[in-house]
Amino acid sequence: MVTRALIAASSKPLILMVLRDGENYGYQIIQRVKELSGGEIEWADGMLYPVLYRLESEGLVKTKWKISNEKRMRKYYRLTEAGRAELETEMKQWFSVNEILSRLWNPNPTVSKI
Amino acid sequence: MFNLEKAIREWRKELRKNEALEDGFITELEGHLRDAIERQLEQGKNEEEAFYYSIKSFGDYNLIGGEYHKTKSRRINKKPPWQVSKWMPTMLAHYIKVYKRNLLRNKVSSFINITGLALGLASCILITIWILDEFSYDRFHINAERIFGVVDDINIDGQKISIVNTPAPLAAALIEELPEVSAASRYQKPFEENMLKYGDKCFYEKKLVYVDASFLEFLTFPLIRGYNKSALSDPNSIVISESTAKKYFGDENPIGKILLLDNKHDLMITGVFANVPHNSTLQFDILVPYEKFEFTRGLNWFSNSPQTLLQLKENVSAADVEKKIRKLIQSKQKGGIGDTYSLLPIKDFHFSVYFEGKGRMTSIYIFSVIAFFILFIACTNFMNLSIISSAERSKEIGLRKVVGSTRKSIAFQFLGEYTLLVVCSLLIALIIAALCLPLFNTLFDKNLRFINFLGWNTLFAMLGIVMFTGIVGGIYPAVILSSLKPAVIFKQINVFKIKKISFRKLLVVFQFFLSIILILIMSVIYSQLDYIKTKDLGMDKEQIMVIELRGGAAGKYEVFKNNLTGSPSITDISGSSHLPIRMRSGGEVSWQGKLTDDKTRINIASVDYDYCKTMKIDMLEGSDFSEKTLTENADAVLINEEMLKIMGHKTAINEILTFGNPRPFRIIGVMKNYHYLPLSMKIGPLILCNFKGNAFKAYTPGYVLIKIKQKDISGTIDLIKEKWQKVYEYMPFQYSFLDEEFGAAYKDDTRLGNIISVFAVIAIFISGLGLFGLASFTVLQRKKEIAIRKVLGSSIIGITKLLFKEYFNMALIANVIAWPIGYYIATKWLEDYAYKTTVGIKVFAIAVIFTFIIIIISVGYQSLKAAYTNPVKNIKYE
Repeated sequence: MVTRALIAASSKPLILMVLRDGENYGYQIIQRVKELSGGEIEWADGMLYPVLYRLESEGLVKTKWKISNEKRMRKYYRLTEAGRAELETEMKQWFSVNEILSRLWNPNPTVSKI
Repeated sequence: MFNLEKAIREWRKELRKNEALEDGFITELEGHLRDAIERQLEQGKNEEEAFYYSIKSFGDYNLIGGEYHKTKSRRINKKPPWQVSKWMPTMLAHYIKVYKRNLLRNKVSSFINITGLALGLASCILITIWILDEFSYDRFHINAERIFGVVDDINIDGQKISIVNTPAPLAAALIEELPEVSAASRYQKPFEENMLKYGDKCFYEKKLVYVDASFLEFLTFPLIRGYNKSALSDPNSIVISESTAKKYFGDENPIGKILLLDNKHDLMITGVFANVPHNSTLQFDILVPYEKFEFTRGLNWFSNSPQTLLQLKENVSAADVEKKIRKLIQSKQKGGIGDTYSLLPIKDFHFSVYFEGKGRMTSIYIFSVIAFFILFIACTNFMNLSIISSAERSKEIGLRKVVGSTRKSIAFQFLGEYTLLVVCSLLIALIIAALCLPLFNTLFDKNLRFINFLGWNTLFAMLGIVMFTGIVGGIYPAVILSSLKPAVIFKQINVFKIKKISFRKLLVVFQFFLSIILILIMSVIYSQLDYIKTKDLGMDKEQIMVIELRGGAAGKYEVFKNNLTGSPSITDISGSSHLPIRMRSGGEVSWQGKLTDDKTRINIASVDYDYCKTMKIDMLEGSDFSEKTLTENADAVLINEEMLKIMGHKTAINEILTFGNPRPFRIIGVMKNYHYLPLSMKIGPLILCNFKGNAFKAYTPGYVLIKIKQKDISGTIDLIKEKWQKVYEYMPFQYSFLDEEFGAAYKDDTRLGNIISVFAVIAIFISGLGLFGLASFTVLQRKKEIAIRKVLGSSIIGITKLLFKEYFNMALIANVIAWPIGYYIATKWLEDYAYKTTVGIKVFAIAVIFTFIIIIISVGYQSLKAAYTNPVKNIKYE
């Protein structure tokens, strides 16, 4: 189980990541994340949507309403250029943090170039 | 049966409650929910289970909404609206700013509103003070619940008469024989005025009362000099009021000084009491021990004279004591009827029939109703004008709604504004009331002061009035305004539907109705007063000076008369036993042919021989008294037409009447009927004896009547005073004029007329204000219509007529409804008068004219303004 703070912090890059593969709608995004995390990350379903709303207002995703075969209205999200750039920045930050932590965790710390 | 669609609908409704969840969000969330439910159905759950499972994993709606809100407002720590504390000081400042701005922008209508309401409130306040005062009578006595008066209901000729006179020995007997009575006192008003003298100061005193020593002990009339317990214990003591002390002694201390009473008794002043407050039924200026009361004829158990006041011990039943008193009196009267006596609590004195208080309760009802009328008119005005001035703010309301204000908060905003308006009006009303209090006191013959009424009760009453008026006046507009739809407002559709206009019209008609009734009553009262003033009495009442002969003054009547005869400024001198307009006194009379069971009351008075000449009374047949006739026929009498009628004879000259001791008298003349009593009484049979005839011992000269020439009246008065003092050295010279005395009988009605007209004026003024405001609204509403009419060629007059028509109709309806009611009330009031004016066309005409004048003034201004406006201004597309 991942802590709440981390869930909150990671939601943004996770969503952007899922959308990197193509446009998607809310329900599917949640399912994908559940799959990929192997059950480690479980969001309250409703909480996803405000985040998507924020991403949209920050211009990182674009939305379009589509009607499915069963006459259901769905809002589809896709990454914008700014979104892709943001994803890269986020990932860089996560990786660098990860590396520092890994190095410090090692009992024989060796200084190495990054 | 679980219905999935229904469940989802309910779920949507739940979400809608949160303000931050817009419709778009909810649609998206619903899509998600359905997908989740589908998933669950695939996995084999039934619909109900699927639904509830999916919902569970959704999360807290408020949190979701909060997140949405955070994004929308872009500030991390801003709270969503439903989490902010309800008491928002920031909004309050805003509302006040808006309120002030509106007040200043609509100066005219705000002024009208506040003025009208302030007037209405001021009237209410004054009347309330009056009513409170009326209820405060006699409450100031300590232990007032234990203080009673003994009253008597007797039967004379089938008529029940309520009196306060009791047997003189009763008070002492009560103390001796009834242990329940802790104190008792006699209270005797003398039959004539008393004369008090100190040095060269000599006055007739009307308010002297004979009491027992205990009077000052159990009744609360505090002495500012001297001691209540002992002040009257000495039989030669006297206690006077502050103002009396000032009159005789200026600023000196009167204690110990001697006053001479009726030239007979030297009494020492042992106490000075604070002036008796106006709200005491017992009114007096001087108290003298009862022993000094000289009326030996009546001081036994068989004739009633003084009032008896008593105080009971604690926890004693008044009913029991009453029974005991009746038994006591019965036993002392040896076979008399004790049952006619009862105990009257002092708190009930003011409204009881024993103290002429029967009409007072009615007055209170009437004035409460009038106060309520006026307040109601003011409130309806307030309502109307509020709607109007708020209609001009419909854009503001629309905007507020669009930006997110709830209907409730708009309603409260306006309710708050109106309450604030009412508070302003109330403050102004208090100032108006305070300024008008002196005038009010004159009108109602009272001495009210504001200070007496400041207290928690009044504060609560004021608060109550404010809340009542604010809510009543404000709730209708608040509700209406808050229900306006922004779309309607901004599309310039006529915001107020016809339905509401009718309600306002109803209010205006009602206002008219009330005002008209007041006008009708006022006209009738004044009409009657005018009738009284101008009616021919059958006798002369102008320029006749009346001097009352008190004490033993009657003895020197002839001397005085001779002294005055021959003065060039004096036309006639005569005298009578009674006041010429109040000859109500009688006795048993019999004549030949009288039926034994004829109990008609016959008035008898005695006059000087030249009475009819002085008073210009005409004779029908026979001859008047003359100086000569009297020396020969001292038993001559005059009768009036009514008497002749009663006797049933065709002619009465030389008929014999028997009355007095009894003695025979001869009729020598018949007078034409004239009014010797107030106009409220029918002219009854009258017998005039002459002074020489000496019919009754009590019918000696009581009044000197002097007819004066019109020129130099004050000079003539001085002359008469001089002659009086020559004859009557020590007696003060006091006079009045007959027409004043005549008018005094109608003092109450004159006062009533004045009071009603003041209220009528107030009611009309407020209605007029209301009309003015309403007219401006109508004009505003119809400005496009008016503009178009102008363009199509309607003249100024035509447009004005258009607007007037509406109001004339309302006035007509109000008149039609008000007339029958007003007529009924007026005729009821006139019933009290035996001789009255007719309720004729004139009265109704006045009402109609008044209403039209009001309409013309209030509506006229607006109509003319509208008629003269440039039509282009109103038709231009906004």
